[in-house]
Amino acid sequence: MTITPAHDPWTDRLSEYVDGEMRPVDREALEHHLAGCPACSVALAELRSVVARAHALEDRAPADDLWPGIATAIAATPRRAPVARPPADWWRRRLDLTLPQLAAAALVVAALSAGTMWIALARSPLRAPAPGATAPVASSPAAASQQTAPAPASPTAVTAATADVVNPRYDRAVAELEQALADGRGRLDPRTLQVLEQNLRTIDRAIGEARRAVAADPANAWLRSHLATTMKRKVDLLRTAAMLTAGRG
Amino acid sequence: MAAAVSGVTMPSVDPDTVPAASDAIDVRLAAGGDARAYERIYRRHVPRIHGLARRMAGDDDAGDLTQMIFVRAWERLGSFRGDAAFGTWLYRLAINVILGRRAATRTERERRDHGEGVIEAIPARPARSEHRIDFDAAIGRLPPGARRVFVLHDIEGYKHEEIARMLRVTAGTSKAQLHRARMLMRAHLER
Amino acid sequence: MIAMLAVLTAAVFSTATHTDTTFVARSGARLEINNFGGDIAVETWTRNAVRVEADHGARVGVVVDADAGVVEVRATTRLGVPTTVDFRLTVPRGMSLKLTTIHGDIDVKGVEGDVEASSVQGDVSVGGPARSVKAGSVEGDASVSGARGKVEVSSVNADASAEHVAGPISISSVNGDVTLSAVESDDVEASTINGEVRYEGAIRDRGSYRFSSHDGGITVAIPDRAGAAVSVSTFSGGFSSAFPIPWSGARRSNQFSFTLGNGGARIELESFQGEIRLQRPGTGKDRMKERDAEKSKAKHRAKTHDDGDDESDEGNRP
Repeated sequence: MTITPAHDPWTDRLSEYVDGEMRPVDREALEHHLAGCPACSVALAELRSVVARAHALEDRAPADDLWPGIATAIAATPRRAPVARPPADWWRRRLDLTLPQLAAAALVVAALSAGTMWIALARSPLRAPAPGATAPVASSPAAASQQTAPAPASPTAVTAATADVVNPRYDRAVAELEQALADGRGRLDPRTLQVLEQNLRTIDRAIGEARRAVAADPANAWLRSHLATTMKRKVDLLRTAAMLTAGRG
Repeated sequence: MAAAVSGVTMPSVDPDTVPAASDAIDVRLAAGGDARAYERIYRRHVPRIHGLARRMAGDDDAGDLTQMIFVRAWERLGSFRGDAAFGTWLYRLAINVILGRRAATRTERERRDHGEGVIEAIPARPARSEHRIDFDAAIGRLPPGARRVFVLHDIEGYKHEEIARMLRVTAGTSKAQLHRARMLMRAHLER
Repeated sequence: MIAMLAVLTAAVFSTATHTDTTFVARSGARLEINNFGGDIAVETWTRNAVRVEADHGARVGVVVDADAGVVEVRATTRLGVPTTVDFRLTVPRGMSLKLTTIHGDIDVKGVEGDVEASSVQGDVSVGGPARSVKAGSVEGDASVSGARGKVEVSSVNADASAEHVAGPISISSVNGDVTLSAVESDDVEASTINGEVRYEGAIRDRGSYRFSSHDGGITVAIPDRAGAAVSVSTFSGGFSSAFPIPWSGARRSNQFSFTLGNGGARIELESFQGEIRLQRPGTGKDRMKERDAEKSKAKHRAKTHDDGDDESDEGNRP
């Protein structure tokens, strides 16, 4: 048995009536109809129940916890800049250019690589130590047998080593990478960010210690090389961080 | 679709479920990148947002949509200016996301084409049966147009004119869809 | 559900929380998975097919995409929201892999191709005769075992280790230990900032072995008859040797060199402020082993699935 009299044109207006949206003249006509139409009266009562039921619906948290998925997503999601900051525009543009480059470089060099090239460069002074230093490494077995004798002084090597350690290009690279990390903080999982920052602090401490050691013993080729290597580790880690903020993790 | 909702007065957020003061602090923290503050925001608002998504889009997509909404809100926290309640802002964004999703609409259409999950075919109040679903679940199975109007009007309290603007239909269509939805929903009144 | 797919483009959307699909792999194809969250475990079989099993939430699709020799497996939701999926794959032995995940562990066993595996928050472990391995993690351990060729292992905040490897090795950490054992390589570079470096393995003629730490000690087991030019450098650390050092000529207290045997290999030992120790193979390894076992136990406890076989590989030395 079907209660809804689909043919009854009044039925279609029952919702308007429930919502009080009818013109008075129509309302009166409908009320007159209702008095003689049990089907419409039942439908009206049901519609009122539907509306009441809808108002009374309660919200509840989803059965599955959706937060882990959101946390993962926001860790990798860039936040839209609220407003452009014109004064810093030139800097921003430069950063926009460098970030993908950094990411690309990071992918090539990768966190996985030990950066052999840099280490080879940084270590070159070892092959030609400063006066008074002992050559710790020989490049051939023949040299190894004689290497305990002090090697001749090599001012060029010392200059090169110093240049490795005090290098404006390095400072700029670090500054840019640090800025990139600061910029992309919101894209990293807070835990990962914390870990990266903790490890950067570890390296910074090591760099500080190595710097002080070099200051106390500037002719020490190994100390300079150790400082350079440690500084390189910082660039590597910052690159890793930049790569992660660029969503290339 | 974002423009569809602009200029529409949003219903205020239930102050019992959403402590606005906590929101204000957490929103500022989250805007600065604090994911834990954002999780607190999520916990406070997820029942309402998920409920909206579930009723508007159906059970299948509600989880995904809810995640999308909260991810989108995170991206745009910077544009929340604090001149409305955060819950209202989030709610407006949620509706935009739900109405704007194309993929979901497509799956919805597919489902309709297969005649699955749509209660349109039910002529009137059916006999009680083992397969009857509860009132809330039945909303998600209304025909999409009727369902949206029903949720926005009868559950969320928007007016036909507002709904018409959001859905880009006439107020008359909105009224007709609402009535259609209510008539169908009668079959799912618990007795 | 097991489907044999001849054409390697298929999206398997499922409302179930488990996907199991097998497809034929083109010979020489490389498999790539870029997983957002979730573990990736890979094993091998003799079939020329790839089986993908995945545990995931409902309404997640597992997509297999093949293009120009690369088979890409990924998980997706209808709306593109990142999702957590645990993958188990069974692949042909010779396949090469490129696997990444943000928070999840990666475990590869028995693959003979080139393996690249990186995680941000999880552990990465690659075991078996891989042609080459790159294994890295930011927060988790990275370990490689049994690889035949070039090996690169790195962790930032945890330990990096390699054992039974023969090719060139580059291994590093920042806040973790670096451990090499049963190594047969002639090119080894191992470094960390705040951790220990341990080496046990061959010292080959003309080989190059470089070990460095800033804070931690360096412990190297040097076989009896090894010939090597050894350099030792430290700032405020110490040096000790379990065997007599053939000193000759002048030396500084913190930077010196000496030659063992024919001096054929080059060994660099550097620690800014840690102890540099030379041992004979076997003497230090028990302590090393114990430490590893303890660590491994602690880790298992932390992960709450202690299966009690931490010491099962005791005495597994060549």
